[in-house]
Amino acid sequence: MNKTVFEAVSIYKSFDKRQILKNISFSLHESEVMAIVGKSGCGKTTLLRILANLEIPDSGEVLFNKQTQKNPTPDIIFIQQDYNQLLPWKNVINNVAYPAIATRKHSKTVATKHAKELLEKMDLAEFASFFPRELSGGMKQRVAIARALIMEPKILLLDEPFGAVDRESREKAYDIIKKLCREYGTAVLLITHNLQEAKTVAKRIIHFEEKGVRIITNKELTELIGDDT
Amino acid sequence: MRSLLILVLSLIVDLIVSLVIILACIKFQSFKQFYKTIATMMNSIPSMALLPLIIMWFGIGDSAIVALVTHSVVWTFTIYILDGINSLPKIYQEFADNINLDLKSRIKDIYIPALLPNITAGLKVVWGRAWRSLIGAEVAFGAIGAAGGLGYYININRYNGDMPKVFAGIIIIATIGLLVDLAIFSNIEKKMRKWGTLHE
Repeated sequence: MNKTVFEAVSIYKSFDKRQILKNISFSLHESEVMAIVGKSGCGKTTLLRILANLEIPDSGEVLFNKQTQKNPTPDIIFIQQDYNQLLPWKNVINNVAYPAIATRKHSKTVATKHAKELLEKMDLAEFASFFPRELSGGMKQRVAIARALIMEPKILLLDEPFGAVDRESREKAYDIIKKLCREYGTAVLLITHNLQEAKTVAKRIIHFEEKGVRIITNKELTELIGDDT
Repeated sequence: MRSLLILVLSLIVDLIVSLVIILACIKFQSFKQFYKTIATMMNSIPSMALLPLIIMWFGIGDSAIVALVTHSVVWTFTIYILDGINSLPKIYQEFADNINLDLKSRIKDIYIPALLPNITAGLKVVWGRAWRSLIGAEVAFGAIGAAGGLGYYININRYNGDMPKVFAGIIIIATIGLLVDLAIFSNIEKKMRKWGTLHE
């Protein structure tokens, strides 16, 4: 088992006296892909936002490399569900290179070279000069993931990035993401509504149930939903 | 020509003043509420209604033009930008937070491009308002600048019954408006159309 890079410890969150998250604890290991499944409105996105430090929990803490993490960091990058998260005034290659240039992680030349490589791996090389409005939803999300990976994050939080994308493209995109994350040593925590997808992509799953949250294996999920692939 | 030059210089100064007000509004929420109320009230007063007061305070000269243009620009422009900031997509700010983007990069690379539709729309409106106020004041009150102006030219030729010169003045006003639009706003709008950020 790889080392633990990320931990959520006893996270609680409520909105308007409605308890959304109750005592959620789990750990994530280096290069691991973990899925979060559950009904709409059960708090999956809120959990991810708390883990990205974009939302403050009522109590509990997020540990990154055993240290309490209280502010957003480029080591933990959150990809939102919204297809319009790219900067519309930058073309695809500049969108991908931008975080590395702006945060002075790489020079412009190096960042652009990395961005090109990432786009090739994402099967998007031919769209480098396109603007986001010229891309499909799934392509935009793949660009957003490339933009995240250029920062070489330790954790990638994906909020149902390919919700409205067809199954074949989705599977292809997840294969690429898994391969890249292995290459970069990045752990992935992803929300999906698709249980079949969850058990294919991840070995461990955070399952939001009526009584609370359970961490189950993909085999246990298969037992719960049956194997109708 | 002199009126136009003073108008442009006033516009530049007023935009800097607007920027200071906007920064103060971002920094101090209570000031923002207070300022928006004042700006909404002042914005509803036509420049021509203030002109007698401006002439009493500043006399007939360049400073009167500056005061007139300031009234036409600052209230409207700041309201446009503050409304734009309110509707700035949260997703861009969270992206900037997530990668720990510094303030300079946020302003230059995120906020200004994201606010460009509001900035352009605001500039278009205030340019038109300032230009109309200036010409209107010259027509109504004669030369408010030291050397006259287009409005004064139209008015003096009306007195002299020289219709071709009156038309010439009107055509020059319209042409200047068109040239400013083509030279500045059309190019920016073309860019925004390419990005898909121009809401038409």
